[in-house]
Amino acid sequence: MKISWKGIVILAVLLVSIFYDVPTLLTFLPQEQGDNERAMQALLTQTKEMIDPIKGLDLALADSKKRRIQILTDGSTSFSIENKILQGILNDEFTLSKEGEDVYLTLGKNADPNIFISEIAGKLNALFTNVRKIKEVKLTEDQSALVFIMEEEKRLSPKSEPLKTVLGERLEVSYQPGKSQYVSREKTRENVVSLGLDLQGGMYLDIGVESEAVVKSVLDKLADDIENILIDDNINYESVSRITDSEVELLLEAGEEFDLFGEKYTRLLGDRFDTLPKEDGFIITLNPEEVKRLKEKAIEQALETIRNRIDQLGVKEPSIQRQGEDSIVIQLPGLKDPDQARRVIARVAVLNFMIVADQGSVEAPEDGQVVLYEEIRDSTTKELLTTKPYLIENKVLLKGSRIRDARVGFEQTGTGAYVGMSFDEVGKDEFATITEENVGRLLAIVLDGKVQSAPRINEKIPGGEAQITGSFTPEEATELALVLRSGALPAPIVVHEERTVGASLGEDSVRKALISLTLGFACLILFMMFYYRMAGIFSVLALIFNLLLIVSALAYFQATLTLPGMAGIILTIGMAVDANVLIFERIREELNRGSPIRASINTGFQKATITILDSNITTILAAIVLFQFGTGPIKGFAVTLSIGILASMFTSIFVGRFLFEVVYLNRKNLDTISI
Amino acid sequence: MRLFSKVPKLNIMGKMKYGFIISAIVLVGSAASYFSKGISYGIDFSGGTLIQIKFQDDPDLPKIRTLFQDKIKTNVNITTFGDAEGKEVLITLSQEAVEQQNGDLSSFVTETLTADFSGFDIRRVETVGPKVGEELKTKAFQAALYALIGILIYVGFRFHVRYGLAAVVALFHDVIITMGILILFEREFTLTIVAALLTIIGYSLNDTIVVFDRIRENVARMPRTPLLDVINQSVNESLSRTVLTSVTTFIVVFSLFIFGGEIIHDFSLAMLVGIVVGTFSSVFVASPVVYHLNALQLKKK
Repeated sequence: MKISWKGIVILAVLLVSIFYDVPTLLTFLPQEQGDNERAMQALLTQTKEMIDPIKGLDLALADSKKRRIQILTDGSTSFSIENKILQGILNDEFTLSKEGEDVYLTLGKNADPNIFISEIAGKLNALFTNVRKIKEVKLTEDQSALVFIMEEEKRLSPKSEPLKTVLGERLEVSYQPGKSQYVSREKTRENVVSLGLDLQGGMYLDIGVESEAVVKSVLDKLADDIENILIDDNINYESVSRITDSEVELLLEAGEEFDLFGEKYTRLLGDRFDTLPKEDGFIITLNPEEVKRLKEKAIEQALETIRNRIDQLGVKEPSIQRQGEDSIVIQLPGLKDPDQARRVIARVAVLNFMIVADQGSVEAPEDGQVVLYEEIRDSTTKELLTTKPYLIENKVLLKGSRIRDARVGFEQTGTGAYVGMSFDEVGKDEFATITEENVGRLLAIVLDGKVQSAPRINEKIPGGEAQITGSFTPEEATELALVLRSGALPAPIVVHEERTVGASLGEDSVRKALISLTLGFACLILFMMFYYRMAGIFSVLALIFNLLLIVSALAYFQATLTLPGMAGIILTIGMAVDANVLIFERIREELNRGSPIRASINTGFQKATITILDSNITTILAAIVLFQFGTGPIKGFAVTLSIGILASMFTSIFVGRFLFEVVYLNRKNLDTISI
Repeated sequence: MRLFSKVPKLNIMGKMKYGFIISAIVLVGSAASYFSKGISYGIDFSGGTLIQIKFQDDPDLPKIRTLFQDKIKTNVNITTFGDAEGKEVLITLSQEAVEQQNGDLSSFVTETLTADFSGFDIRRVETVGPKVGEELKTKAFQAALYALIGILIYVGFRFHVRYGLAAVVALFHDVIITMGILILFEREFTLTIVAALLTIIGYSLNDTIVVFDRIRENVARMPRTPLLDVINQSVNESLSRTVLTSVTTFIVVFSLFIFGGEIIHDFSLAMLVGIVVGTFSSVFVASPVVYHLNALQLKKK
């Protein structure tokens, strides 16, 4: 039999598609419990074995003349030249030797003469210092990631490439500045169709930052500052205040004049503000570029803060991305507690330390005083019982941004939890001064505009430690500590869109979609084989090929399969048959007209192909529009629909014809055909 | 096996009056259901929050309703959801209610229900802000518009403007009727429905093009035959294919409708309606419109 090039092409496509299908199919196989944990344990041991011996190495001294490097060790560890990290630098070119206590790495005789001993020694030294920065290597609690805890605030220098072979080959590494640690997780597997959040459960959040609030606070502060200068300069004014979201109005008393372009004001206004004179005063606005810059900064800062917070939630593969101008899209697959995630992400967490005023009354606060409330809640039901007002001096003495760390602690007497904070160097000094100057007064700890607690300052606190008490449950305290560690949001956030699906619902959806796919497919196979006999079998083969192609294309593009996406596949299966029906009906028609079998098959394919192209292109047009328009799930539907249509054109026209050729057209005597 | 032992010779075009009458009645019915009931937008477009809860025991709807209405003064929409077991409940809260709760919704739901119900599980929470809802409405409208323009251009280019117009008329016909039936069944208008409508557009067009293709081929083959006869013959020739494809697609969508679960239930319902209407329109709407447009053109000359 002569070799058919069509057969080869089809076989090749089939093999490639199977190649791409396999990894995805494997992910659907049930995994043995603990498999992952064991692998991570092994990885941990392996990593420790590589890193620990190097920790004992101090210095590499180059001896260029003798073409060797002397290694100074602390004597406690013995290291092997086979160590993978060392090999990354030494490249099999060196041999290890000892002379008494001294250890030498000698360059082999046949080694490349261009190797500079001093360069290699430099690399080794960089490696040694880097490895010494690693304090500890351990697994996360859920055993899903390796954590490299660094000495305080130390980072690995990018120069020590060989460490990457340890950290980064199988794993993805990210640095968490707040905690001085690297976390390395398994890379998302390549070429696998992953399940969308609606199928595996999880949370999709599209949020925006109320960046107008940032602009407003800048204007409020400006109004305050101008007012202060006006008072200092004894200028009689009517009012200085923010009158809209974007304008500050300055009204002078009639007849009063002053120079807004004087030195003091220009320093204050800079070139960030635009001024517009009006009768008896001015309107001051932020100029548009400045507004844009402020908003941009707000959203970047929010992104950073939210990323920090989510890192600490322990979600396996979180995705936090900026979308468009003012949106942040957060995807948290397999999330166990959506409520907690929502609370942790949305909390503004602006923490201020202020002093409770000694004089005045809550009913009539004086200038420079403000009334803030503490919410008293029932400790078990969390119901709001009452609010307690505090008269507070309107001046922030210390801000939450000075917090270096926050942890949960438990009070010895009761069951309540508290949050202990430690300040950074600057904050420590400031806190000491505040407590020294205000002994005997009440210190209000204000979180997001609410008084958390107001303890009495008994003495100067020099250690830079403070506590927030209140009737916290351990969970509340944990969340509070988490948000305090990761910093405040620049402004409140608004939820544009949230879609949270529980894992059980996701499983149900997958199961139901698979059932309907299987049943629909089975009905179709029966129908086609019953109606078209042999040709029906061809179409079934083409259909199976079609399914393989769809899955492999999705795997190749690493697409996410959503529920609508699955609906798209099921729908395409139904429509894919259409191409076969068109062809078969044409062939039958030609046969009815009395054309010979061979000619009928050829004409049938030829004529049907034009129709198939025309009709499918229009469907693809609709799918493209859907894709353009779509948000997440709808996009998934558009993608599977388009891929399905393209695949069905290939399988029905090309593969279908090939099967006809193999079974019928190659026969010498073509008398009957089963169609 | 064959649907027709040989190419049928039905006088379909002769019956096109009846086709138009049927279409007109259904269209008027759809418009009536639209004007009497109006489209009820799902939270995708109107904004708000939807919460799906599964109870261990049969949920007591009136009780749940009272519990919620006591807490929030605005309207709360509570319905059962899912299969015959009926243990799942869908709670839809309006935008105002969401704002009242400061966004902390599922804990609010948990608090509200905990006292009176023991075993329940929040399975799905969807929130759409008002801004996004408006955006999505605009986008959906644009999508439909662009799809129609694209189709008009493509069909006009591949066939003739007359065919393009006829195809678009058929598509409007399909979309209006499908929407009308969805409104009649009191289904909410959501993003998924938009996806279904666009798919119906693609599908119905697919059907129409197959017939047009035949007309084009036959017009070239029999230039002297009157157009009405050519169209009639073309529809007859492609009739078995039209019916067969509709049947195969209907089979799989039906299996999706029955076994696919509640979340894509509305989608598959829309598709089922769309397949029937789309098949009907490719025979009884698109082809007759081509004929009439052509006749109109001849009169002018």
